[in-house]
Amino acid sequence: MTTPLQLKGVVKEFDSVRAVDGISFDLGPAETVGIVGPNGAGKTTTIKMILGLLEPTRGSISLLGKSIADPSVRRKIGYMPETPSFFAYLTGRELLHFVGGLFELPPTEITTRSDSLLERVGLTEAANRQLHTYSKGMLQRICLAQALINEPAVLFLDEPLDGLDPIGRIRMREILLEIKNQGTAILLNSHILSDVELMSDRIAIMDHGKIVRLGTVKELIPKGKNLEEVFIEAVGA
Amino acid sequence: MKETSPLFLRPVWLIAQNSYREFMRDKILYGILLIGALITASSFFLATVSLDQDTRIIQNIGLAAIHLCATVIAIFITTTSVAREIEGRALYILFPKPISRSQYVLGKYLGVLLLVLTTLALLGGFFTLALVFRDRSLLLNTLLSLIASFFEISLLVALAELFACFTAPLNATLYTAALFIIGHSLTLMRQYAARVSGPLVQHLLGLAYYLLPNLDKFAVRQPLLYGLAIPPAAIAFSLLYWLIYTGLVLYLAIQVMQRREV
Repeated sequence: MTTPLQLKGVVKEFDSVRAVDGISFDLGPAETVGIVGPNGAGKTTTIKMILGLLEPTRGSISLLGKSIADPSVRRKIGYMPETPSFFAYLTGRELLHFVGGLFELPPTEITTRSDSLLERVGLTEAANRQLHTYSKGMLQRICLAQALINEPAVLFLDEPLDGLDPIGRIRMREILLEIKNQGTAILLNSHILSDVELMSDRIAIMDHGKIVRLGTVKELIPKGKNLEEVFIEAVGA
Repeated sequence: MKETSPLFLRPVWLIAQNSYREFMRDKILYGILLIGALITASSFFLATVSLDQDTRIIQNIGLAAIHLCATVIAIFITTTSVAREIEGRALYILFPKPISRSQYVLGKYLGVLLLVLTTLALLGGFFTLALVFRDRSLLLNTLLSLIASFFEISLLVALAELFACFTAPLNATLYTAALFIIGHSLTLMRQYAARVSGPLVQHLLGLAYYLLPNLDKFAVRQPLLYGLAIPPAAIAFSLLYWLIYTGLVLYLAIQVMQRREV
C-alpha cells in the first residue's frame, strides 16, 4: 500500500526566516499523526506545503506516492483549515454542493453525502442558513463536512478544536474519532495537547521549525508523565 | 507553483456560479444599483428643463449613469471578492481541491461578468422601459451602448482581477480606477502631445497609448447620440482589441495567481 504522506528534508524559508527546518516524517495508512508545538513552530506552514499552498524551499513531499500538483491526488484528500471565515453568503448546504461539484461527484451523490454529513456534524437544521450567521463552532463543523465530502483517504486538520466550547469540542472529538476508526489517515495539527494525545497514534513535537520529538504515544510519554510535561521538556519552555 | 491539471470548463462554471450567487446576495450591490437607478431616472427629469435637447440629455445622462454604476460595481466586487477569499482563507478550501488556479481566475472573472450582465440588464431594462414611452427610435442606440459598456467593463474587470491577485483591495481599486480614467484620455492625450510636447514626451505617450487600455475604442455613446455611423471595420477592430487585451491581462492574472503563495 502506498504511504499516504512522506516528507523528506523539507525546508521553508520566508526571506531570511527559516519557518520549517529540514523536517522528515511519514504518515502510514489508517494512521493518525498529531503535530503539536508552540505558536510559530512551523505546524501550519508544514500543512500548507503539503497541500501545495506554499512551495517548499527544499526537500520533497509525496502524497499518496505522487505530487500534490497531480489532480488525482487532490481528489483523495480533505483539508479543514484553521478558523475559516469563508463564502459568507452561501448556505451550509450550498457550500457542500459547491465543493462536491469541484470533485465532479454526480448531483444525486452530492445530495446524499451532503445530507448525511450535515446530520453527522449536527447542522441539518442550520443547513439552509447563510454561513455569516453561523457561530464559530458551526463554521468549524461545516468546514469539517466539506473536507469529508469526497470521502478522503488522507485528511488534514488544522486546529480542528480551536475556539470550540466544551460541548462542541466533545462532539467534534467524537466525529474525528469516528473518521479515524473508519481507517482514514489523518494529520492533525493542534495545540490542545489532551486531544492530540487521545486521537493520535504517533505524535510529532515541533519547535522552531524542527521536529524535536517523534514517536508513538507510548514511546513519547513515559509512565508517570503526561504529554504536557513531555512537551514542556521538549520545547524548553 | 506548477500544475499538471488541464484546463477544463466545469470547475470554471461552478466557481462562476458560486461567485455570482455570492455577489447577488451582497447588500452593497443593491445600494449601488439604487443610486444608479436614481441617476438614470433623473435624466428624464433633467430633460424636461432642457431646451430642445431632451432626447440627447436622457440618453447621455441615463446611459452614462448605467455605465458608471456597472463599472463601480464590477471593480469594487472584483477587488474585494478576491481579497476576501485570500484573507478569509476560502482559497485554503479551494486550492487543495482538484482545480487549477487558472480555473479559479477564469471562474471568478466569469462570475463578475454575469454580475455585470445582470447590472446592465436591470438598469438598462429600467431605462429602456421608460424610453419606450418617450422615443422608441432610441432603443437600438441604447442597446448598442449597453453592449459597448459590457465590453469595456469586462476589460476593466480583467485588470481589476489582475491587480487583486497581488495587491490589497484598495490599491487594486485605485489602480483600476486610474486606468479607467487614463483609458478614456489616451486619444486626447496623444493628440495634445503631438501639438505641444517634445519628441521624448511624444514617444512616451505613444508607448502608453499602445500599452495602456484604450477604452475610447468602446465609447460609442456620443457618436450614436449625434447620429454618426460607426464603420463595421472599427467595430471589428474594437472587438479584436478587446479579445487580445483581455486575454493577455487574464493570462497575466493566472501567472500571478499560480506563483502566489497563500
